[in-house]
Amino acid sequence: MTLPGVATGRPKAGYDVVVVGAGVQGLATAYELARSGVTNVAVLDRSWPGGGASGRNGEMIRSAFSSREWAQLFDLSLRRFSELSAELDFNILFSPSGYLVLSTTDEELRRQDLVAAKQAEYGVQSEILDAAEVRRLVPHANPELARGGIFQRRAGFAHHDAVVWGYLRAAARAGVSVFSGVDVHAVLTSGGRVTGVRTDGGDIAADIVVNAAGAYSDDLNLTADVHLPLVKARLEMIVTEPVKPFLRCAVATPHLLGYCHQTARGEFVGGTELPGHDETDSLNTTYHMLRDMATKWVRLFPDLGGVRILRNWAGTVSQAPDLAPVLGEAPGVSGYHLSIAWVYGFMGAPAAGRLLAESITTGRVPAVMAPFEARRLIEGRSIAESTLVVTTDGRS
Amino acid sequence: MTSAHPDEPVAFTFEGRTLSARPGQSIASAILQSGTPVLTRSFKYRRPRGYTCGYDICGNCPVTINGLPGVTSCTTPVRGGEVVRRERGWPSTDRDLLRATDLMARFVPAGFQFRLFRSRPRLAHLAEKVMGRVAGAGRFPTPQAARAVRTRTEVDAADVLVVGGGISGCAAALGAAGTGASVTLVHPGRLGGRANARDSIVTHDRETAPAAEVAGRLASAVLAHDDIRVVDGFVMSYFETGMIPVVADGLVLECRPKHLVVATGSYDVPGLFPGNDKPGVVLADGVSKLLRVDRVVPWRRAVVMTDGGRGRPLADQLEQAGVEVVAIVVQRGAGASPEPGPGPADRQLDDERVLLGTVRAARGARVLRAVDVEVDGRVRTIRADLLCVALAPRPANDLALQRQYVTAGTTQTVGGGWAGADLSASTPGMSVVGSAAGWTSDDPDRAHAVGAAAGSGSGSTQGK
Amino acid sequence: MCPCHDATLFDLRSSWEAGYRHPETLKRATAVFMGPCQGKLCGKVAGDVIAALQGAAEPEERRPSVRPPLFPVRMGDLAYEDESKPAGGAA
Repeated sequence: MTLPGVATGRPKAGYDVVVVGAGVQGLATAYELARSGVTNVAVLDRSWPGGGASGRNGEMIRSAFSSREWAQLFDLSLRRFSELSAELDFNILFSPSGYLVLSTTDEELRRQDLVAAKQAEYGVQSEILDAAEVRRLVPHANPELARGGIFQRRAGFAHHDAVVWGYLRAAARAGVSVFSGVDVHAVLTSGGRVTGVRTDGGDIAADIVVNAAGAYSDDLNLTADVHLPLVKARLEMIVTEPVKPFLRCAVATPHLLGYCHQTARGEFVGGTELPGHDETDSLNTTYHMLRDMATKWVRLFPDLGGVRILRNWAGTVSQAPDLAPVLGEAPGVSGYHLSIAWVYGFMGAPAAGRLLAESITTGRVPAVMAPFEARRLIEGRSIAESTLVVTTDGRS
Repeated sequence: MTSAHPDEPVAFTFEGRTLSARPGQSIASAILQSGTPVLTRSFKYRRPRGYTCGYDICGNCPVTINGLPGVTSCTTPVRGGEVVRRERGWPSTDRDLLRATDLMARFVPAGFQFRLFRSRPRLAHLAEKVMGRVAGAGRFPTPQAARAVRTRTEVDAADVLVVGGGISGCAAALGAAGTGASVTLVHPGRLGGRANARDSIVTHDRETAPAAEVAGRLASAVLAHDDIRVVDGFVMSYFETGMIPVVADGLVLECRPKHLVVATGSYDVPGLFPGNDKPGVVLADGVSKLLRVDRVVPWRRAVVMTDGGRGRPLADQLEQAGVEVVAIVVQRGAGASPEPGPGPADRQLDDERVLLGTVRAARGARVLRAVDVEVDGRVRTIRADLLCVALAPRPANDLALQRQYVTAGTTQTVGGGWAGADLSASTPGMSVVGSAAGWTSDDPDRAHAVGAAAGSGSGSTQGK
Repeated sequence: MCPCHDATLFDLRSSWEAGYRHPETLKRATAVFMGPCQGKLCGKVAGDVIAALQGAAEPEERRPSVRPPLFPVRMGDLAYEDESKPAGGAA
């Protein structure tokens, strides 16, 4: 056992559904399946639940995106986050402190009215802030960079481990078996249908297999002869010593490629990216990213220059060219469902788990989920979202 | 502000009072000398915390200096003119009314926040905000202090990087430089490290002398050597591509040495008993440093706790400084057997101070007042204002472990690491010397030889 | 037990009892290894406690990763002064 809710003993020879990966996607999906009555479910993870990107991300949550597809998917997630503590009987420390997408350039400033108008059209409430309002909201920000922004008041952040642990416990209570230390080597198929998985402890039969393997999801796809244009990428973050509360809301700065918030304990947590993705399996951090983070955060919040960094870590994801997730049944293999290619996965899991479970149990693809199906990548279509803090440079 | 004469006392301000100190003495030692044992409060329960390790290991002594919070006071020397304040506690660090939270510790164990208010999101959010204020986040730097933290970046081209300037590190640096290699040696503060406060006898160049003396001689030789660059700073990490950045005052040195010599020494290990974090419970090297380097004696009656051979030398140092050692508790069980060698073992029973037993608790409302010792099933309460914890140290293996991670390609596949993975052997491009490698006594000649091998290895690739 | 975050022996044992039975999950549950000392002070004792709970001489699993920085470092000590310098150009 590695966590409360993890099963003891070995998996059975077969299940109705096998979920590969006990990250937040896999656990949310398993929990939602159990809630809709499918309880003969196993979740298999080679390490401890939440050991991948689910426990290494920036914990931030919003639905104020520029595209209809992202806004609607993540608005469902945001609603779910506000219900989860009560529903899972576990306080996930969801903090609706607000989420600011900061405009630091003229171009972003010019565009923010248009983006907010679109959000209103999608039914997502957001506020346009001018420079003075942004300075009131984040008084420690460098006034040269705090030009304006879009603020979503009911968004914020939650404790990523707590979300994983809450889903894990609730899924286990509902009858799902979650196994730690079971390595899935391959998805087994026969005549275009999934039949189970091959693990280091033998084969497990299942009519439905869900790939929620995070950074390793593409490796798993290849074993089922599913070919999607995904690449691995490493993301890095820092956390400082606790300081007195100075930053109320979550902040993302698309131009600086940075995202950050201050935890209830007072730690500043932030990550940045650089153009071009860092394609590797490694969870080591890099010197140049640490310098990049320090440089950008001190530029944005000059007072942080005097605050000490305690820890620097990395996580890996597998991402699609348009950086949107891939949700739904895999093309060509019936019964093989995907919840992969997540870059904003922590944020999207509550919605994705519910939608994927619904599509598995009813056989109908919910409208909010449909745009994210894998077919778009094969047909070369992409979802255009302009407010992401992630870079597509270096490839197309 | 700095005094012209090196031994002339200098003054600094501590919470409105003017304190006097010898230049170079640590800020923490000067505060202790003034009769203030509580340096900060703990994070969650607001427990009083004081001087503990002496070497920037424990996090029990951060203070705010000239508006910059989180400055380690046990390793920061007094220069004169500083404005020093403690950071946590309301209304003051000495008397913290929020200390009450400690009494409720059983009701707020790790993870309590996940159970509290789970069905009342609004209340949960409010509680979180309140906890954020109460759970004593430290201060925020003043804008001037924050902007004064600036750095420039420089590439260091030395063949050999020696990390740690104790006896082993200095000897290794001299050994490497002797082969013609260029050497950078990184060490925080005064060269010599923990050896500066040690009385043990060391053999070096066929002569024997006390460790502090040998450390002094090696340090002088290092400082006088043209091919050794000494940097007062610390290594930030071992990164991919072999990058080893060194952080010094206002300078980042980007080192990519051909050979890395790890001479990071050891960490003192704390004892596990209730109250082990109380001001007055001090780790062995922290005690020695205060007595010998900072030359401050803030205690009267001491209990020394040991599991091997370090108790008696500590007791001797304390008595020489005028502290009454009332008991040497030799922990029952692990490692309590007498060690061979010239020095008297801790267990020697002709000394009436020696108790074969177990420390059960450190007592005192705010600071240490007494130590509970269990001997033969009976608990005895011994009055003391110092409990010196002299357990076997563990190798400071962090840097070497990071190098293993990078070699393995990820942090996840490197095992062990609890006590110090087997670092005794040299691997290509890295040697570990001294207590970092688990050596139980100072051996400068051996470290010199390792350094020489590192130097000739790295030099030859350059055709030197 | 862990002075940085006030994690007590009670916290470690009760979290273990509750099922956080891996150094990495125990770390996340109790915050040992996550304070300013990053395990320098508590690491050995935490290892001993975990080993004792497992009934072994040393924990079966590896210790939580040693992450950068080895000592806390101020952000200003790592920030490039010149904004035009592409951060990371050096590596």
